[in-house]
Amino acid sequence: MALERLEFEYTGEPEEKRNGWEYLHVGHVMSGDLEILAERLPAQANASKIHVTTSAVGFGSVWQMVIDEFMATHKARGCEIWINDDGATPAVVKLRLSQLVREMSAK
Amino acid sequence: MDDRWNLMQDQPFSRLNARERAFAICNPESFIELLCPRRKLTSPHLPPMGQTPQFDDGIVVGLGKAGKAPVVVVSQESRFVGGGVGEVHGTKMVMAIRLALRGQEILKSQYKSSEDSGQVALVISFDTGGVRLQEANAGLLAHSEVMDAFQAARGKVPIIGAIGGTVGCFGGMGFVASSVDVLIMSDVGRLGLTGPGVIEEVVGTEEFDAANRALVWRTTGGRHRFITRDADFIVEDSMKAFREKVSEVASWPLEKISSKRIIGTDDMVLEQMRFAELAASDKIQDSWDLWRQFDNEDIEYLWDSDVTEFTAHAKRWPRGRIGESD
Repeated sequence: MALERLEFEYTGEPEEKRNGWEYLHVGHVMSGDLEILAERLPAQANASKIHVTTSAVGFGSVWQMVIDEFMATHKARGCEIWINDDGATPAVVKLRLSQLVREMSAK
Repeated sequence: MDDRWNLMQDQPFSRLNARERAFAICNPESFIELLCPRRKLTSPHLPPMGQTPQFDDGIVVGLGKAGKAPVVVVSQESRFVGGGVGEVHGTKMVMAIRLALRGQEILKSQYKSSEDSGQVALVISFDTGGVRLQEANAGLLAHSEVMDAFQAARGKVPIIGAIGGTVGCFGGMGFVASSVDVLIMSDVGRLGLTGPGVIEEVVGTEEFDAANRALVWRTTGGRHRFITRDADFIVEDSMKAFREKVSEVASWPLEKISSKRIIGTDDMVLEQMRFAELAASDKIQDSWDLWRQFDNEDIEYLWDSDVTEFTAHAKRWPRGRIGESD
């Protein structure tokens, strides 16, 4: 019944292009979906932290794979990302993450 | 920002989420969200039950301008736990009402007349099934606090409600929506107390078939609510239509807006009870029987016509004169 909380940390050089966003929010918490909140951490330009809260317990390794891939592709550094998930499939998670990236580059 | 606002105006109101509705119901570039997701003000009750919380607890509150009026906006998100009202959700709503009241007092104390100061209005977009069952007691308490705040704001802050989301407005929030000053609905919007699914489950499909969409909408939908005077206006399912109606109503004098309330005094309650007596009588088997009771003849035409024609031709409950002809 309890929720599972996961944390991931990444370091490394950020993408060259730095946009002016401070804070972004996409998605909804509903069955099979998730919300993502991203906050800029100006003081730590080379590190990122991701917090996942999920109602689907026991999928830590899947989250690790999905987020590893996201962070390798987009190099979103210098930010803290919070995910509230209600049983989204990896495909939906990736969709929401790419929505986040789109918003990051739009601002 | 302006592009985004313009784009939303052409969208169906029912398709937008709570944040988009709050943003687009105000003038362009005027909406500021309070207690936004970044504040992470989440429900303390959901996680122990294995339910993921949402950072805004399913409700968006903020400030903006609608036409010339400064407005406090409240907008419920039905995607998150069906728009259910929990402790944080309810508190945000109550504090928004109090904020509007306080804002009005400040304006009044600083300006001599309302023509100089403008008038703060409260706009609530309902999209909810009522109490969030996971936090029932806190949710119920929130409902009563909202009603209490409504009474405190009575005759001081105009309260404009809007129902046009996919869930509609049911449960305790059905009472709340009935106690606003002016209620705007669309054809998509539904208003009721016990939701169709619950009625079916409790008393059976023979009594109420929740899968019968035509039955559900003609019993709870905007057109029926317009005829029974629960709703004051029926508009197209478009963001623009809702925004324009809200701006129009917000510009009315306070007395005119307040006069639209249908409950809140003893006389009004008695009037509603007489109406309930009629609706529960044997001669009313279907909502359309009620329409006929108010001398509407071509029901099919009324049902199929666009909202402008409907508004022009529908004969509504003649308040205070039940049984007499309109």
